[in-house]
Amino acid sequence: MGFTRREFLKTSVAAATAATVGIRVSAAAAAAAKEAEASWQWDKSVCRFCGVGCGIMVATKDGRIVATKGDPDAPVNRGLNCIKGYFNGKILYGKDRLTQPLLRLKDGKFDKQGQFTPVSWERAFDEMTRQFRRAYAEKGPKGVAMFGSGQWTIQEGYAMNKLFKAGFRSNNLDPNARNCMASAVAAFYSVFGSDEPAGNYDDIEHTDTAVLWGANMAEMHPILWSRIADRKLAHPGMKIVNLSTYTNMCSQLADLEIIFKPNTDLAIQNYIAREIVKRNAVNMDFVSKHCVFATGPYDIGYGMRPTDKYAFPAEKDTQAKELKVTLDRHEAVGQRRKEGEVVEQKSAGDPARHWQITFEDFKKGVEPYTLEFVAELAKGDPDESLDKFKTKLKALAGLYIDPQRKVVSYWTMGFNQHQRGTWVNEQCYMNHLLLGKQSQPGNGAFSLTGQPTACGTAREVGTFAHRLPADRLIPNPQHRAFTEKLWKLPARTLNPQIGSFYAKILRDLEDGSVKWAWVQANNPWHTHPNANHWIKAAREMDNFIVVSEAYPGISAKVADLILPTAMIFEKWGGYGNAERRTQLWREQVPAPGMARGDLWQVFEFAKRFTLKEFWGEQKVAGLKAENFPDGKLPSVLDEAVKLGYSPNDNLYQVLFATPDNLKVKWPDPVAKGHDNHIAKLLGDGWFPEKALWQEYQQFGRGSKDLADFDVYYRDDVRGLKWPVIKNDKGEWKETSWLYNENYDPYVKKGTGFEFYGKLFKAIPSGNLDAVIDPAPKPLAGKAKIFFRPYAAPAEQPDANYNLWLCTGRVLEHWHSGTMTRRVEELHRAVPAAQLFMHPRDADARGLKRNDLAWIESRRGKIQARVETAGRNRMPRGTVFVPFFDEGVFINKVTLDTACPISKESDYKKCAIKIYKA
Amino acid sequence: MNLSGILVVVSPTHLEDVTAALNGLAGVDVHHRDATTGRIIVVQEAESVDQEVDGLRRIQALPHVALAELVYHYFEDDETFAPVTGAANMRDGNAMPAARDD
Repeated sequence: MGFTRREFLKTSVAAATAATVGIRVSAAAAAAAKEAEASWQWDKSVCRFCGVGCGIMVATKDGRIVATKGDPDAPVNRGLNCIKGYFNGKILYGKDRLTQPLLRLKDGKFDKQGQFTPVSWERAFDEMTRQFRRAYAEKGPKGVAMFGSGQWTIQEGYAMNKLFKAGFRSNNLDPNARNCMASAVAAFYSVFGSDEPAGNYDDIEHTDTAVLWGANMAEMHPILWSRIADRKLAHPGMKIVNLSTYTNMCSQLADLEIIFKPNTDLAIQNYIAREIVKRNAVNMDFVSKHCVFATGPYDIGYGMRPTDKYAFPAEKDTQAKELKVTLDRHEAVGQRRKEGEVVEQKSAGDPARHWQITFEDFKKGVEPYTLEFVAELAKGDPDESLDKFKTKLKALAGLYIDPQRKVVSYWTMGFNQHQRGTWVNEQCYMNHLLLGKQSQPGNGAFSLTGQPTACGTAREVGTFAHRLPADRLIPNPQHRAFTEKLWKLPARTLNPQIGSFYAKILRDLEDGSVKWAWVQANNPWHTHPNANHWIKAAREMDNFIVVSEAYPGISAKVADLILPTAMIFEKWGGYGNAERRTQLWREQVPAPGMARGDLWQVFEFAKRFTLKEFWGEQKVAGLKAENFPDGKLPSVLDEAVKLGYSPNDNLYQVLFATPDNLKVKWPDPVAKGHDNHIAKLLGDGWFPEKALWQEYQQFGRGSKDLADFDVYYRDDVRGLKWPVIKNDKGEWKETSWLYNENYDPYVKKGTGFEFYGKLFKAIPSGNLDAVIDPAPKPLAGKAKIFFRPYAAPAEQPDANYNLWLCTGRVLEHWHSGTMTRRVEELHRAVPAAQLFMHPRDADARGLKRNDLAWIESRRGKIQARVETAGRNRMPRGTVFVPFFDEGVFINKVTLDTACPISKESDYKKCAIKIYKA
Repeated sequence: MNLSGILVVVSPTHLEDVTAALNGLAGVDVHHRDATTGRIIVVQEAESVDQEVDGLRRIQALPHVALAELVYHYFEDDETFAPVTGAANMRDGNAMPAARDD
């Protein structure tokens, strides 16, 4: 490359950077930039990684990405990038990119012990189909399963949801989002009756207080963190509180840092509620008009299996807690019981049940959570004085209560990956609702998400074992009927029995009840806790596992068939971020080799099956539902014929390439010259991403409305926050704050606020301990303020396993590192996961910085290098290990307890020991 | 070749000092400045990967720099990167991680 070209490029990069951040440059510089970029094509797109949803601009030339930049017009990031976002363009070009299907073969035939061998797509689909039929014939709809993703595009999730639930009549489809934000969803349902946050990121610029509850935003949501930092610089009254079980990067900017013991966030929130009551700070006007009080059972277990049949010998004592718990002193006080009482976990089968209580009962519930009690229980740093900790708790309550102060609470995995994840989410709303600081600019409890489209795909499309699109639920007959009508299915095609949730699919593989599973856009064998069980299940049981992947992660390595997948900029798609903002993008470059989009893989697989294979009668053990024979899905083939289908139609024709969808033609002017490899490969003339969008769009009408497909591609649009409603002038208007009359068109005028979500809006009533009147009492338009008690973690450090282990992400890597570890700069920045521990804890074990140590739990052991001085400062007694590094496979050590309501795993607390390797 | 467009924010009173310091860093050129807001646009050409990784840190470490943010990334003709640990040859039937007794 010549000097002139290089200088031109530099001028161009400088001019583009200046323009991005709003600095004016000379006409000469601008002209030079234009010339340097003359052969490039720029287009708007979105970041592949976290839930923040930053806009990026992508430049392509000759079928390759040559540059990316923060999108100056994106309201989320305003031209900035975090370090991962900056390297978006490079994730496509790792050397070990998977470019052809790989099947385990021995002597030319599939063999579970065979070697991965390149095969054609035809051969791959043949084996996949044969194995699917074998599993389905033996086990029916419950014998097959899908591991979906909060990284699937909206259209991919929608298509697979439809294929499984409508085509295969199986609800065994659940996303990795289960392990990311299921607790948040469960609380959105129980408190508001509708999923997703009321507020948006602009709350940052409106608020006076940001309280972080177990959310390390500086590393996990860096662009939002930079907005919080800017707010602090611009607004002198701005206070930041960092609540965490160890000191992390957020503490550098925090005015108040509170280090607490695992699970005691439950107690701290009740302390705040008690203070609100004691200081007469309850906003009685807001509460009486817009809220009711509620509670539920405490004996709900810990989300483990109810049997120890599959437990390793060393883990049987922890597993036994699933059935029976002996209350410790703190639980006894917090639950108004006696220390040492043995409590059978009788409500484990129905943990979400709840009922209304009075305000008087609520006050009785929080009464034991005095400053003395909570401080003694919750103080997480043994080297901090109790008095100092008490002062901090008082200051925290003061910030919430101050009537002049707006407050936003942020959380992510600290709350969600929690044995009482749903409760702790509900408690956060409890305090915001008591104070009336909810659903207003700068005031509200804001659940952040970890994945780019946990909201857009997993939650809104409903790619869960119990959900259908737009807040519809599998067990609800009206919701199924609505879906059947929209999908043009005979009545009773959909299976009314909830399928296996994410952890349960892995357990089903281990006990042999699922025999065929497909993974797209996630890495369960790397990321699910207690991994030794699941690896054994994949490799030693009689089953067939398909993994669609771009790079060979652990799940690909344990699979039987690997399908090479097109990545984000190699296909059309859409993501929905944590502030309800939906963003769509175009295909930018071709996928390498034989790699193809996940959507194409769904279609091609669907083509291989006919209606009569699934829509005849199917046995489903345990199925019990109104209008269904026990244990069976009825045959709907006769009804199907009446609807104009033939039993020999294939599932692609019936579910996807429908007469309506075939009318949506490719090519389409919205493409502006961009390609669509899937439309071209299908060759039947339709535009699948647009057609499926239009079909899906109908589910949200009247509550979670989305705009027309083309609207999102307009040059002046950078995503839109639902509900997006077309006004009389034909303009599409997004909604910034839900449930607030000033912003939300669905709130009845004159009410001020209306929590109009429809789910769980008629419940029994009772007292703190039991239901008294089982008759459901309606509470339309109201939110619930829950009392939830402190519960001790199921596994705690003891004389043998004497440290707490917490796991999580790091700034430089995304999840299991399959993408970010292919970017050399990111890899070199953080090449391996470290064991963060207190220097005195290290010293006590004869370890020093950079020493290799064993980390061992009841479930497994691995090695990592000790770090005593890095970005995380641990209190004595607690260690942290990131999970991105397959060479430091920490999920062999972690515990698979979960919130029994949400079924989301708790990665934040288990007992381990550490010794020199 | 890796070129980074970086936004540097300084207190306006230190615009000249920081500009000089930035121009003194290998591979870094100051291109645009906004005297009223203290914003500086630099382009960094990394001569090695390590330099690019360290690049932002050395800018952030300069006296009077309040903020340095990566904005623009150009990487045409860049060499692709060899995979990291554990990405074993997929033709090897034993490529799955060992279970339990490691």
